Amino acid sequence: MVNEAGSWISQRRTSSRSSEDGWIEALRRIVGPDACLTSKAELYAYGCDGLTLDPHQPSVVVLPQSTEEVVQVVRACRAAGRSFLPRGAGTGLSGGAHPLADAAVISCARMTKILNLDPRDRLATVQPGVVNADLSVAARAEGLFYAPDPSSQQACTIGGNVAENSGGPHTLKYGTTTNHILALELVLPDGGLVQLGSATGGATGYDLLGACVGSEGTTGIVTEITVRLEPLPEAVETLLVVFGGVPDACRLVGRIIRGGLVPAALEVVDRRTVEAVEASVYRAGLPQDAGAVLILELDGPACALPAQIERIRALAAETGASEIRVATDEAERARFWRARKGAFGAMGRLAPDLYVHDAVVPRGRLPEILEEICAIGDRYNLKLSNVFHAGDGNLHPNISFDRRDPEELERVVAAGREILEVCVAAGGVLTGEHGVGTEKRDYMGMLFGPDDLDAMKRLRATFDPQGVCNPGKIIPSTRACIESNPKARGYDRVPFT
Amino acid sequence: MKQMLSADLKSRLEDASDSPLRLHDPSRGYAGVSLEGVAEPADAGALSRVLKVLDEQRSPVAILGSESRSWLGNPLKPTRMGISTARLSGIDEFDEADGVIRVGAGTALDKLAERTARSGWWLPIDSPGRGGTVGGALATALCGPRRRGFGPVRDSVLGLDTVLAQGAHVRCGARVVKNVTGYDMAKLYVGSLGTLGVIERAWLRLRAAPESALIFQASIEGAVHAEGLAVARRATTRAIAVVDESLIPFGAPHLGRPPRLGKRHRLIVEFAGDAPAVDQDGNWVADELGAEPAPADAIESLRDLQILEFPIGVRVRFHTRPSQAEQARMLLERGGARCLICPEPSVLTAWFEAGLDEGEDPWWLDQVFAVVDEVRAASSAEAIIEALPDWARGRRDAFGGSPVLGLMRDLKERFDPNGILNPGRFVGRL
Ligand SMILES: Cc1cc2nc3c(=O)[nH]c(=O)nc-3n(C[C@H](O)[C@H](O)[C@H](O)COP(=O)(O)OP(=O)(O)OC[C@H]3O[C@@H](n4cnc5c(N)ncnc54)[C@H](O)[C@@H]3O)c2cc1C
Repeated sequence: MVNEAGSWISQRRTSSRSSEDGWIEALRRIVGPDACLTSKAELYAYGCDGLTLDPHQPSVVVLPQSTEEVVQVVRACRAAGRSFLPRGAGTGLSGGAHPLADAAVISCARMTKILNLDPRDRLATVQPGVVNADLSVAARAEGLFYAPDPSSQQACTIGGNVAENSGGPHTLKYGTTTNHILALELVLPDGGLVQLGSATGGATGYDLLGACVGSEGTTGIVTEITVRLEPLPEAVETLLVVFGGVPDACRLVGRIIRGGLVPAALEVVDRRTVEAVEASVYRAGLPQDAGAVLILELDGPACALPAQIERIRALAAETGASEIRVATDEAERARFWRARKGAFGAMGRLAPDLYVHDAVVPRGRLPEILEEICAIGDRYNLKLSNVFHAGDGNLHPNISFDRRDPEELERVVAAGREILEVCVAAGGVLTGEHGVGTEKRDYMGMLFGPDDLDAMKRLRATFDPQGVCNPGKIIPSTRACIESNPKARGYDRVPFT
Repeated sequence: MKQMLSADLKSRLEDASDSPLRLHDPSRGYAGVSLEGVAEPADAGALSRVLKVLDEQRSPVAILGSESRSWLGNPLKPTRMGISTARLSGIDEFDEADGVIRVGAGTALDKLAERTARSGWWLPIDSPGRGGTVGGALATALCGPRRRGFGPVRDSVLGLDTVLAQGAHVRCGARVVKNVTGYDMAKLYVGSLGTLGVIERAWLRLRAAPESALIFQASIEGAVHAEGLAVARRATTRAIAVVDESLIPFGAPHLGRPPRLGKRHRLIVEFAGDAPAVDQDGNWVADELGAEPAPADAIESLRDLQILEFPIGVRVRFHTRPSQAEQARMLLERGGARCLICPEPSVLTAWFEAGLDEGEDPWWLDQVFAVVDEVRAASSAEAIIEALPDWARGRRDAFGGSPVLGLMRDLKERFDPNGILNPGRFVGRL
């Protein structure tokens, strides 16, 4: 069911199964009793991911520790006719790890080994449950790091990053997860085991590896990942540029891009977020009256950075910046970043719940789109703030709200949808890094026609013809498409499914 | 017995594409077949109609760009029709502020690169050889020496319009530089040699032209891959190759005389980026390797060299891990090959040339294949056969198969159920 606002709040499960002891027993035998969770209290934590609305309790959670166990678990699920879904740390923000339709959760949280870290070839092979930040810590000893750095990197797993094709502040220069994955070991939804890609970076044939990255756990369970590591840059400079408002900060971003500079990061934090951060434990010493701050990081050969800073100073002055600070030491650099990375936490001061939205627009349109987004927030009388990856045009309008107020929740959903409409109309897309999941599944028709979605279904069916692996994600029903965009080409020709 | 294109099919195709079929030069042939007619649709609608007609007739079709890279892949299965992307060309939109551009598949790469360069943007595609179209560059996904700086072809593709075998016009991706809305379908079409769908238009991401770029060359010997890798890992290295000196007069005469006589390999490197960093790397390579400035078109010369074909010879491309590339090179040289090496990611192109007396000798070819197999096994390398003498074409799958061929076959069947698009050319003769 889609509610009035076409929301990500789906129908609550009405049926539950009781006679599944045999199946659960089989799973217990595979992973051991303490890695097979069935009690209500244990299952509670697995009912949702970072999109905490509308949780669905899974029928069972298994925590395998090896590829072989994953293979057996998948086969047992298939034998029992049950669907299943992989899960990492559950920090996803689009409902990717929400168990729908009584699915079993296969958590990779105990598959945490770094299997190989090879400085000569600058790569590492890891199990999917390795926490993102732990990999960079391990690589640092070799003068290397793992570039994709979602703001959740202290908790999220590489398996989850692969499934969501996660980005982060440094995506601007280094690319998203897909640019760093060389090979995957994948347990197919029928229990088969395949290797996609190659550590050489030159696998032949269709790029199934590329198609699996970002497939949100619908093409199988990733059990090993070979990633490319990058050399630590010789020098890093972090700047904080203060503006009267977000549009000016975005204009500087546009000038930097047009000027051919490629900073490692270009992150904008708006006034409301600055206020929340400064009132919280993440206090970064930001000017309280700042309309917006731009956190800008440059990295590369030490001899190149002074001239880059000078160019940025000049561009910033032309764009009306009121202040530029260059971090003088590691502590100050960390403080600047705290303003960005602590933003979501600080938002907890504004309201009990936070809806972290995610959309992308062409970078040149950032100033005007942000004004429209703020106007939408005002029109719906919502506390909307913006902290985002400006260099990629990747917006995160954050809406603070209280889910116990159903009327406010409806406004959140309606505003969220309008924001997407504005972004799509500007040539943008529904999500830059959080994925579609259940949250945006029914909005896919805003962007794609039936033929486009049909091609996606063909890909998905190649891996999972029965649709048992993370069902209900990404691909909407035809009805939802029509509702999300009645004018989209072709829907009038397609019968409802 | 040779079948002819029926008059009925011909007229239906002409109606569908709104233009007469073009004759294909019979003396040229195309990927092992001779084509009787080539449709030249001018837009996605016409392309879709043409494909529908062909699919209904179960008529295989070759997808043609400028035919500059038809050497890649297996010979076509019997095919009489071609579809050319020649009229699907031109720049639809160039967002100079954002560094993104939307172009038709038939757009010539060199013209496009010229246009973007005028606005301070680089087209980050450096397919081996010269010429070629956008569609061809994406479908073959071949990389030249600038892969070090540009990354693989797929990294420059933001969105695609394709037409599938049964005529569906499908869009994926968009113009924005970051996007995870649904499956990353563009990855499937890039590098699929036109066997899943015909690329009709593309949104590409451009790179800002660097403040400074310098090219050097040095003569080296011994552990040449290790030397090359050290240079490749400098901060501003954008293009790099180590070439067997004896190949240069045949494939890249513009590179001129070697900096030092008597050494077997020549290293060519391009540094690009901020001027102080480029100068720093330039000074380093001059001090460490005695490198000297190279001609301004040295990188283009290397791309020419990459497609060098000997009258009777075999060219094979190997992908290895950097740590295994030196061993691969030694095995290849011991087996009589001469190599061009891109150190990171490690790609070795090896040329085997037959002696006069080996002419059309299958035994010689078997020896070459034995070396290829040895390198593949010893260095866990992928090997792609890029050129063979005419008499030997099709003897082996040019791509050497894939451990996930079953999945690939299934995918192909779902996208092109009647197997009409470029049949036989891709991995596993899909
Ligand atoms: C405070 C906060 C900040 C964030 N910042 C960012 C950011 O900057 N950039 C960004 O991109 N995201 C960000 N996110 C979102 C989230 O952290 C990422 O999507 C992350 O990659 C999810 O990883 P996870 O391990 O938590 O996966 P989960 O949430 O557990 O799962 C995510 C998806 O991956 C699938 N999956 C998990 N493991 C596997 C596996 N082994 N094989 C196949 N599929 C699997 C699941 O089925 C699900 O569809 C943020 C989230 C929070 C809460």
